[in-house]
Amino acid sequence: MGRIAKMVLVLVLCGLCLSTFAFGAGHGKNGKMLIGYTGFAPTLIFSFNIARGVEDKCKELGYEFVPLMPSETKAELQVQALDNAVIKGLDGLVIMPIDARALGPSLDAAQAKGIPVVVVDATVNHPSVKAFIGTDNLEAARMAGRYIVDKVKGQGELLLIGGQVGHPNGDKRAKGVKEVCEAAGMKVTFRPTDWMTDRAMQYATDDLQANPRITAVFSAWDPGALAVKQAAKALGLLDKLIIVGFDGDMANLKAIKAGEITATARQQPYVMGQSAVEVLKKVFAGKTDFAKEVLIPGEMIDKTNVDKFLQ
Amino acid sequence: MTAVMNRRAAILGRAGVPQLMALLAILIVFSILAPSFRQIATYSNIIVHSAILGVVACGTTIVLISGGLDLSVGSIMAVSTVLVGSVLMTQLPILLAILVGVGVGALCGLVNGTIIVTTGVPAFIVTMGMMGIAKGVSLIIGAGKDMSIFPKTFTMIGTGLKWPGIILALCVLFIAFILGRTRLGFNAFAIGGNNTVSRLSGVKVKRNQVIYYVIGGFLAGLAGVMYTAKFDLATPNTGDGWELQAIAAVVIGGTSLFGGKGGVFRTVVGVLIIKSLETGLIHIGLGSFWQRITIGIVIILAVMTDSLQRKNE
Repeated sequence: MGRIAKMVLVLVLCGLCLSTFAFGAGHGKNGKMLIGYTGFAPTLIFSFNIARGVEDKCKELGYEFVPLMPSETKAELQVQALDNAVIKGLDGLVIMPIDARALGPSLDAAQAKGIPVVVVDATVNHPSVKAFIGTDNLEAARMAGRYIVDKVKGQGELLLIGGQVGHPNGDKRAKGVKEVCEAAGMKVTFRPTDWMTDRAMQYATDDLQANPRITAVFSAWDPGALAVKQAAKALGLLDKLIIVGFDGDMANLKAIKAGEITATARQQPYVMGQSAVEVLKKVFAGKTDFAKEVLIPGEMIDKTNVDKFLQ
Repeated sequence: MTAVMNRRAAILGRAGVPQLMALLAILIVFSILAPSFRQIATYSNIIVHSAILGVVACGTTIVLISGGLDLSVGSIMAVSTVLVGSVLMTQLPILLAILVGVGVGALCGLVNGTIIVTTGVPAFIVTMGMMGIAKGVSLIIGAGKDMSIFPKTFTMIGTGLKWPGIILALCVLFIAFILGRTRLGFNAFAIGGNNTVSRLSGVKVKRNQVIYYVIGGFLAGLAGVMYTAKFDLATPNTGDGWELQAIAAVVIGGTSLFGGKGGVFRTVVGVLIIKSLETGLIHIGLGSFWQRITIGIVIILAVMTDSLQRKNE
């Protein structure tokens, strides 16, 4: 192709591109309210369940569900998806923050467009947030701590596999469990993992091998507890340890039933997702009669009551 | 001589026109499929999200042209960001933080380049090792620490379009200048095209190669600084997979994976193609899994085109 021809073609394409502006920016399809949800990558069951709750409620209320979950749990991907969705135009947003600290500019953009935001699971401080729905992580963690102390009679040491330092839930869960266990006289070793299961496995393997005084392991999220279980199994320590997780994932419930994990603190992600959309419904109607902060209590699940939840 | 022709092509970008047309075609297709795509905000958003990857990809461009390969740029970003965060948390001057960030990047590049040229171990292996080392260092420094909420005068350089855009433009011009107007850049094409012949012609191949890695490392460090400013936090989780994304952008843009030809303006087009695809897919309602499939297909197509062109030469 001649050089002139190439240049002409490039100019024509540029012109076509610019001319599309003339048709104006649109909104959504068939007038339905667009509700976007973004959270951790759907590989995290907890986030996936929140998404299901949001989606089912949207179907029920006649809203259109816009999935904005990143394929990998990276803060920058969540920000990118959010920014693009805000530009595309949404009527409401439900956000489960990957890293609340990174969301400032994106929430500013949402606020500028008047898009109401409901945050679930981890708190975000921003004027565009209409409500927060999450587990009372501190109380649930204390409850988990008391469960552990009760099981080991306050003997031995606790290995605390944490989440990400600076993540409100990671911090609260670590704080709650640590408080209760230390008050009972147990030494607590804290290992933050940035919510990465391979790091949880690494720390569990190293610490369990190096420290025979560990009698219990708490993981701030359920996938971490599964990783701890694998590490303990490989070291032959499974029946000597109390392993407690946090979330209430089905995989962990099955492991509890099989006697490989001791317990988990149950969250209700599906309900969180549904409640978030219900709040948005009220916001759309101009109502303000909803709680700005909904703290859902946790519940300990162990072998004694796991069957109830395995339905 | 091929090196001369390739160098001219690098400046004038003649050889990168198919990619530019592909970019425009992508933008038009999405504009037709998704009404919401047709806004100025969409385009400025694409550039905002392209800036940091663009800076990394500038460095990757010159490394690839010289026949090299750097798999450690993502980890360099991580170590840069945790050091920048650490400096900022101790209230030391912002300029010091930035210098530390780019400095550690250049240092990693220096180590990479030196090991590669003195031991003869393939760049793939050496930079893969550095990837692990830098990541490990960043974890030692930054794991489990809450380094965030930095001064506004710092985060300003990462926010919005203005400063990231300016920094990206400066990096692009910097690399374009090197490639087009300096002996160093000329040698990159020569070395990438035929290492042995260049050496026999008197080119100081080893010294030049080290410099290319230093440049690549420096820009990766700069990208780490920009990332810290944009997201207002410094964690070792930064940069995972960015080395592959940068290589993808460079290859899609039209620079050869095997060295000897390419250009930085083409890389900019490559980055924009990736980010336009990612953005457009959101506008038409397809999730992030489709983004990965699409980008993967585009990479294969780009390398296939490169291979076919090489065969025809």
